[in-house]
Amino acid sequence: METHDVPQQPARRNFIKKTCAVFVGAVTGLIPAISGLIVFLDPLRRKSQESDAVLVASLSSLPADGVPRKFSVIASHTDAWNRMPRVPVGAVYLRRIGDEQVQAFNVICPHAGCFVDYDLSKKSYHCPCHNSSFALDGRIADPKSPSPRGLDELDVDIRNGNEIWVKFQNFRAGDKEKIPA
Amino acid sequence: MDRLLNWVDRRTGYRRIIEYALYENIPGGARWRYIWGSTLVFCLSVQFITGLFLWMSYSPSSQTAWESVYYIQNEMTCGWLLRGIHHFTASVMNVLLVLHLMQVVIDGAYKAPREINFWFGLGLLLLVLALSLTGYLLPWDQKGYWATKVATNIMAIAPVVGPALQRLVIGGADTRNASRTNISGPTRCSTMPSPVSRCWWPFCSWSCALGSSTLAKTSALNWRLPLIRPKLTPRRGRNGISCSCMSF
Repeated sequence: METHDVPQQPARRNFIKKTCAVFVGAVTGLIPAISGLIVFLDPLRRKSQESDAVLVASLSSLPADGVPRKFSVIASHTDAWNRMPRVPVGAVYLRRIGDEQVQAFNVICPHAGCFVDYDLSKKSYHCPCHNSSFALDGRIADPKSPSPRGLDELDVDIRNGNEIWVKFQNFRAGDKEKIPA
Repeated sequence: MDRLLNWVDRRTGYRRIIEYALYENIPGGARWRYIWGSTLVFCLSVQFITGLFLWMSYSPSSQTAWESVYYIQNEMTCGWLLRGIHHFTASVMNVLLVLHLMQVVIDGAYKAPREINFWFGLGLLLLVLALSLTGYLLPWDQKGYWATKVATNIMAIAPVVGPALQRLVIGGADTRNASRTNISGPTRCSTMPSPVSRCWWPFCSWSCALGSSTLAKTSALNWRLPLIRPKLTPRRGRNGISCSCMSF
């Protein structure tokens, strides 16, 4: 058997070779992976849609005794490549607190994002997921309630004497502060 | 730095793995015409990586496929680049397959003791062609739709099993939503890369174990020769350069 000895090349030439190999390897290997990662992280640079005030209901449809009623919020919505002109984008509880004053709450529980129900007998809002409960005015009713804050109140505008316009917005769940989502 | 690398090496043995992957005994030294197998491995890896990321944003149905591809291409950050790399590498792979096959035929790499490796290579050839054909339809555009129509209709005129095979592939009598999900979902994206990688691993391992097929041409040297290490030649330089040409 015969073996061939490979003459050792000078160290500096090996260094240039290795550097070139690492460079070429990095360029060729990393470009697909990095472009994939950038696409993967694309949702992070998407901003939530700013919504204008939406006509939700008429003042006359709310009972005068302040019992809340739930209404769907119908608005245009863009979901990736789909633009939908009039679809339900969420829901609100509206309650009359004066002749021409209305309070609006987002139905989403600030704890973990489930929809709360209104319990007529207890006169409070109740979340079926983790038993958060909220008083009529939206504050936390039970100290054991896991929600970090009360129901999220929304800006309301009464227009033309009878139209209830709500600036619908979702907020980040699980935070003490009301941060727009 | 050396201490850190030594520490990692003692625990992972990465230097041995790199040496196994990058160095091969080639009698007479490295040649440019030996690069085709490595460029194919490189392209396949690129396709797996870019395909995985594309799959995260792709929506397979006849109502959403085109729209989601448009969204990836025009709305998502660097989506055009990711899709471009996937698209052009897919085309390049077909050319490389032909070149690699030509090399196998010219060098007689199908002869003993490489027959089984050759059969695996043929299997991989078919699988990659199938991936190319099915990938064509994914954007659900005019070109992809009609190209698939033609290909599956040709499939249907095969004797006896043709019509059944066509129905199986397109998920019914006609190209529609079921074909969309059939071709992109179970058939293509999730199941096909699996046999490709399962064939690829033994294929590459055997290729390394059996040594370069150029040995087959020299009768005095048989496939056991690499064991005596005639000349240790790093192939990575040429392969790296050729792979970078692929990527640009």
